[in-house]
Amino acid sequence: MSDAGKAVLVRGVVKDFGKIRALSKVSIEIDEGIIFGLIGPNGAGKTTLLRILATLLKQDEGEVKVFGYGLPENRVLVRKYISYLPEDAGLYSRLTGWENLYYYAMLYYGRTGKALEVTEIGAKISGLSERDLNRKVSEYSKGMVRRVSIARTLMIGSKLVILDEPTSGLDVFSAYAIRKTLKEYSRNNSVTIVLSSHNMLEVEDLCDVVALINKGRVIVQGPPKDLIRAYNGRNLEEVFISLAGEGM
Amino acid sequence: MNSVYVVVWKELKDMLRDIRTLAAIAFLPLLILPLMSLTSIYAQGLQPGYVALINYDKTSGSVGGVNITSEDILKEISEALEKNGLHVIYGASANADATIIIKEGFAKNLTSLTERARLEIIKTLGSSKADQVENIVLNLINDLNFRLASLKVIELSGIAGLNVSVDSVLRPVEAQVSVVGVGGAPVSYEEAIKVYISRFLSFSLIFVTTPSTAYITDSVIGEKERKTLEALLSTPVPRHALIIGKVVSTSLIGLLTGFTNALGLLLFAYVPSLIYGINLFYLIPGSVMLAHFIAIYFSVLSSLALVTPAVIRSGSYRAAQASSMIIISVATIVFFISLYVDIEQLSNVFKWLLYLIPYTHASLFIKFVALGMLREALTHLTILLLVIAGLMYVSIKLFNEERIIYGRT
Repeated sequence: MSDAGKAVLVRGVVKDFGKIRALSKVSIEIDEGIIFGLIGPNGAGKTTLLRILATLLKQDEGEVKVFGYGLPENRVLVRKYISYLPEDAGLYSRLTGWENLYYYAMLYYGRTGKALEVTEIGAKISGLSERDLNRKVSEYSKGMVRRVSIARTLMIGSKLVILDEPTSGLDVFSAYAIRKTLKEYSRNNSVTIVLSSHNMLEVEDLCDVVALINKGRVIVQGPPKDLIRAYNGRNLEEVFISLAGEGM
Repeated sequence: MNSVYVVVWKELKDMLRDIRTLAAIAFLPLLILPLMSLTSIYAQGLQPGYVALINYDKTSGSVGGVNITSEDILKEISEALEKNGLHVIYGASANADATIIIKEGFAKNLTSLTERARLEIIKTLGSSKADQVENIVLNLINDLNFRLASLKVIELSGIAGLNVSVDSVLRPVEAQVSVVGVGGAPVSYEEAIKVYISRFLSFSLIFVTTPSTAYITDSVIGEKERKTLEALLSTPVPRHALIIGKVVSTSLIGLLTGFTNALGLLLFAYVPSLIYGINLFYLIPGSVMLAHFIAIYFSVLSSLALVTPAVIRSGSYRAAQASSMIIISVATIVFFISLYVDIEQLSNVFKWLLYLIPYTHASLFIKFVALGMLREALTHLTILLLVIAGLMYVSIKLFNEERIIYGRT
């Protein structure tokens, strides 16, 4: 099997935390330039897999490659190509929104003009006014925090963007705004986005390819429409329930 | 260096904007310690002290041609007590902090060549004023003993027809104390005082060691608990830059807090000395003050270097703080030892054990600067830097993303 054109390649990955098996022989492939959704209930193993891709965890068994670079041995190099937003990620509350963006820009580009340029891009992606961006984050609503966090992750221009539950806990308007931002960004920049969610309807609307994951195993992988057709469901939720079993 | 700057940039902004914490940690000691000093002095003055004087003596006596009655002695005692702010009550009193009883036959025995005069001090349990009374009266008795003994020696020598020097009889040994420097050259009493002050300055470093540990804990574990650490760890910022950046920025804040803490302690000692007419700061040379300032910074850095390996292996804020407190508490033993002991003169095993603790070198650095031994001072400063660098290296090697993220909280 050729690795060319693959942003992510995961083969037979196992990850244990003590006696608990978080991932059991997981294999997925993610093509470059698509939005890939990992869907499954809480505790399914989505965050563990994303943390491995984000170079924060080492798998116990199996092979992981990001743009052809094996992990964990190439983690220092891979970090230059990825940007990661953990679930419920916070911002630095005593810094302004703009300073939060600038800090991350500097972490990637140092104290350069490019860092300022990237910060301006982040400010635009966030959709917040200049006045709001110059306020301390401690004064922000949860939706504003998430918009700046998403902007901070996207502005870097990484080839692979990893988002763990990006709309979790947000109201309908904020979640809609973030989905719209992700779609536009993906279309305009042809980057690969890997996101996790337990909201299957959201993923169905947003992702080109999804993988259904439950109890540390990938049940099925493919474009949402194909999966719905193949398993005679009205939506991904019904497909997941029929595959995972109603009792789970 | 660029990555370190970026981390320092963010950390300093974050810490300096937390005004309330900064004020509590940095400026409160500057206010509280001198205030404690002042209040303790004036509180003593505000506490009334009562002394009951009871005289059972009706006798009188004469020695060396001088007539003495117990009333004369009582008057002396009474004046000394009142001079020290104590209230004298003649006769027994239930409210007295101390009671002084002049026993029957006191004056007669005082002037006798065969008997001893007796005076009793009865202290009330738990009274701080009673201890003060005891000190005053015993000092007075010492003086009285010498005066009376002198008169008796003069009288006896007159009877015996001998030419006698009172001091030769009563103080046959005379001790002369002088201080010499390391090379054997004599030094002034003032110079000797400066070295004692340098010991006190070394001890004052004990107060600079703890505030910075709260900041490094917050900088690492606080980030984890506020959910900002995970994203940061996925960025290309090198781990050594992350640790050095956090330690350097914390040390700068620690320097401020450490400096105000040490200054607070100096003011704690300075305020009473000023009240009693001694300018302590005048006795501290500029070089020692500079050495103290340098030692403060490196003591802060030492604290951070000591606790960072434990902090980055801790799962929670509480666990990190507890580990830090244990490490710092053990290490600060050095400051107590340096107050009473010459570390370089200890037995080899004990000395080298202490040398492993970076604070030892900060303390010795100040001492050698005060003694004017610059080569030795710089040697200990260099060792201090090497120990700090070694501990930082350990922190970098122990840094593990997985452990930090999944550490038990």
